[in-house]
Amino acid sequence: MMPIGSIYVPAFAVGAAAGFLMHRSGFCLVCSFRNFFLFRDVFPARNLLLAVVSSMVLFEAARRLGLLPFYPFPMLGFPSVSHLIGGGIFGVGMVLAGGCVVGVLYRMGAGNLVAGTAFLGLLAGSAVYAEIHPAWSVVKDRGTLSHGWSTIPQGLGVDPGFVVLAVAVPSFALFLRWRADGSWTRRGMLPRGHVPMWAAAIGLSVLGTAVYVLSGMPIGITTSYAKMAGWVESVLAPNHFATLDYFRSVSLNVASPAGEILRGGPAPVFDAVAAIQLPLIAGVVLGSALSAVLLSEFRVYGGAPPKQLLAGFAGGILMGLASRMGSGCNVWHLLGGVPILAAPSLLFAAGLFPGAWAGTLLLRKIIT
Amino acid sequence: MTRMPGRTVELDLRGHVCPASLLLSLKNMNSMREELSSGEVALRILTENRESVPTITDAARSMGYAVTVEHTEAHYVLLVESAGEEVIR
Repeated sequence: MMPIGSIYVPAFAVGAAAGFLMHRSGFCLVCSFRNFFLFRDVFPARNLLLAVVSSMVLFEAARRLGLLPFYPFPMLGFPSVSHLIGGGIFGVGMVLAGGCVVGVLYRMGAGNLVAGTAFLGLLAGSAVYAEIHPAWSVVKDRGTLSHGWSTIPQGLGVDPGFVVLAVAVPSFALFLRWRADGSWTRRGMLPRGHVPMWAAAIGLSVLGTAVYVLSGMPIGITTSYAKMAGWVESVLAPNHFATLDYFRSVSLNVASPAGEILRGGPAPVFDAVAAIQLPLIAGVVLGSALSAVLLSEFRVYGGAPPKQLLAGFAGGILMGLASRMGSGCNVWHLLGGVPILAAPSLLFAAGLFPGAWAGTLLLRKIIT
Repeated sequence: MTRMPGRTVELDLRGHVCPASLLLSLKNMNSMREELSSGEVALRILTENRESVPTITDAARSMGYAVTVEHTEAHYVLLVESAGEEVIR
């Protein structure tokens, strides 16, 4: 694990590589859910499964090599009904916005205006959460299902390696079968500079593992959206901002193996959370913008109908709100928590299914 | 059999939310099925959405149409038209 003062450059590089890969491949966590409900298309979901299982194997390898200072990682918490509800609301929002908290960044980096409105919505949603934080904290506490364990292996009292093997072996057998029948290749004509989605899935799992090893936590960015929202609110309405407990809360407070205290939260100050997440965010935007520029595809289009812009903004609000209600976003849970079989993340993922289904019903009405 | 080029209907979906390109392309390919199949109409789709290129071309081919893709300026132009006939241009 790196000292927090040295994390900026590697975090930015990881973000840039992720943004570049996502733009070139079209790897999208939202499509994995939405395309199934909308088109019965399982191609993106197959690639998400590959990313999750690859991350699972890489995280476990890193743990066994002693490279993960925290296992489970900080800010995971205990499983609660709040994770399920957060996942459900997030699922609606990500479909309406046409991208998740990272997808919005890379599409915005490539010049998409709807993604830009969704980004503003994400900040607004984080601010809305600050208003309901005290009440939601009660729901979260009362809905907690276990105070003794966070991950399934902890709950079962077994070595995580056994559970990882039990999931990974049949999964890779399935992946080989899909390889034999050509299911990893998208039918249809491909855009210029295309990177196969399976390669991006594996690449993202490697990048996610690098972030976990270097920072002690998997990829997560939404606490920084709350920081940005808090900063805006502190400038526009300082008196009201001062009354909001949420912006004084601390979500990260651990000591690294080297004795460095990592402390941070949604307060609009530069702390350990910001040191890790802000370079990642900047990297994703600039990496995707670089990819678009290199392909001569960077251009801001204003052609989206107003109702799509509104849907993007509303989707962003729901994602910003739900990522705080569910203690993390889809990237944090799907590519960070699910690979270590964290119960909060599995609940959040379970909530995404009905949410994405409801979102597709709404989106179909908005678009057509 | 040859036919003269018919009229072209343009669908400009640049800047739309994902997956509007695929949804609206499918809707138009379905609603104009007769005209597209007979060669009376060709559908010209403009999109900057990279993910839509394989999905629209795959859907169009599955529906029996011919598709060509051209990258122009910062976007893609997909031309969906009747298949199985020689088109004079």
